[in-house]
Amino acid sequence: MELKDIKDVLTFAAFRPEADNPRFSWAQRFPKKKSVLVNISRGKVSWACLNKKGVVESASEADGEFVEVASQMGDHWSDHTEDGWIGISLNNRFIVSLEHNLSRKKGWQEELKQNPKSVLGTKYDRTKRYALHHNPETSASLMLACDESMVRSVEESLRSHNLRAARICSGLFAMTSTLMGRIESDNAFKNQDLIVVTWLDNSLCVIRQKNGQWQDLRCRSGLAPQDENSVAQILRPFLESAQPNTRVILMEDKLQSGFSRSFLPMFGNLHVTDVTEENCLWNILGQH
Amino acid sequence: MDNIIHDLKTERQNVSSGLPAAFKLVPILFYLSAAASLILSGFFYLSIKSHEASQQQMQLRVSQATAEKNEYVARQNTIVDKSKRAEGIAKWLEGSHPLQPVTVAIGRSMGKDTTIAELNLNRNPEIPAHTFLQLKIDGGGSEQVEDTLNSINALNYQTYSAQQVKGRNSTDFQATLIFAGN
Repeated sequence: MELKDIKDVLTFAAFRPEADNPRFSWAQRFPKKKSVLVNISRGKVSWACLNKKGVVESASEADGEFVEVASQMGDHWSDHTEDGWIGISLNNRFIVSLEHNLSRKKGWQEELKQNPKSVLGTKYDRTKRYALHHNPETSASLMLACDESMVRSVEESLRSHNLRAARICSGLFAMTSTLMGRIESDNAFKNQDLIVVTWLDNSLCVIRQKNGQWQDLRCRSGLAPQDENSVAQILRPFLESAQPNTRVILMEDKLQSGFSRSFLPMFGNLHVTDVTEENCLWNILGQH
Repeated sequence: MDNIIHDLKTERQNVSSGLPAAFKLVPILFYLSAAASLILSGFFYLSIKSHEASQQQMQLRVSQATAEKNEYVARQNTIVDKSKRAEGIAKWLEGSHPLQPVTVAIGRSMGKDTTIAELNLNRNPEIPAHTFLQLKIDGGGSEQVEDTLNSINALNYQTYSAQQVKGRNSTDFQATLIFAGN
């Protein structure tokens, strides 16, 4: 037994999960500790510093690839963390798709990490890492597939700057999962005809839900700025099949972000409900 | 678990979920015992301080009482000394009381032209019944010594080992007087 072990017991740190334990929420892993969340987009990196209460203290962004930005901001991020642990949101080189009849047997979360083929079957690609969000009412699931090389390169960059990844996730998938979870638990929305749009820094995910069923999903990550054609192409099938009573639920990473400024008119007369809150992405990543 | 955001990072082996909550009793008991130790230490410290203060007060009272006692003892010794001296005077007075008639008889036996130059009456401490008489008479001569001896004999004293030395104008007489009883 080392002195650190005794210190951890006396400070109750030994009773908390380790910072990189994926089975616990961010708030459980960093109680009364400062932390930094970083979102890596295509050609752009944004970050937020959370104070000891888990509230966003400051947020900023810089243009450039992650390696370049990390070399400049590594010390700053390190100063705002406890022991160099930071949370990463990947917003590039991933895809979210709608799948059906995936295995949900007990312990599927661990199985997805250790033996993803047993959960995904023929959908499995060994160059990808996966995450799932199941619809509790139906057999539909949202499946995130992210390039493993992207994850490894980010981990390598962090190590070179004495930083460690407490979590690497897809911010857009986290926002989409959270929003779908809210809709599932809200009886007012649950059985409505909905187009659910999530937008995070030029990454877009659109889901069509009708009578509680997830009918369609389209996703693009790392769109070029102001790429109206691509956005319109993604939205077109949803808009064509929309009924007058179809409602649009929109969530962006922050208030008045790029989508609501540039693409909101595409929905025409459809009723749009914007559920975006201030620092929406950082709040979701910092609480769950 | 459903509310937890997914994690794509390379998993580290043996990631701890933290010790069981029941083990929190260990640090809690540690802090409680530490706090109890501090409280008891404080309590004992205050007790020691209080004890030391009362001890100092008692020592002060003891020293005051000792000083008072010494004063009383000194005064008692003075009284005892005076008492002893008074007892000595009383004993002397009591002891000299039987010799006073002798002194008076010797004084009254002196004639017209005779004076007592010196008179000593010393009682033998080993034999209190014997009193050693020394008498120096100016004038008078042997007749005066006879008159004086007659006066002493009238008080039931008998002379023993009498010696008489006559000078030009004085007579030295000494003898041991023995009280013959009533």
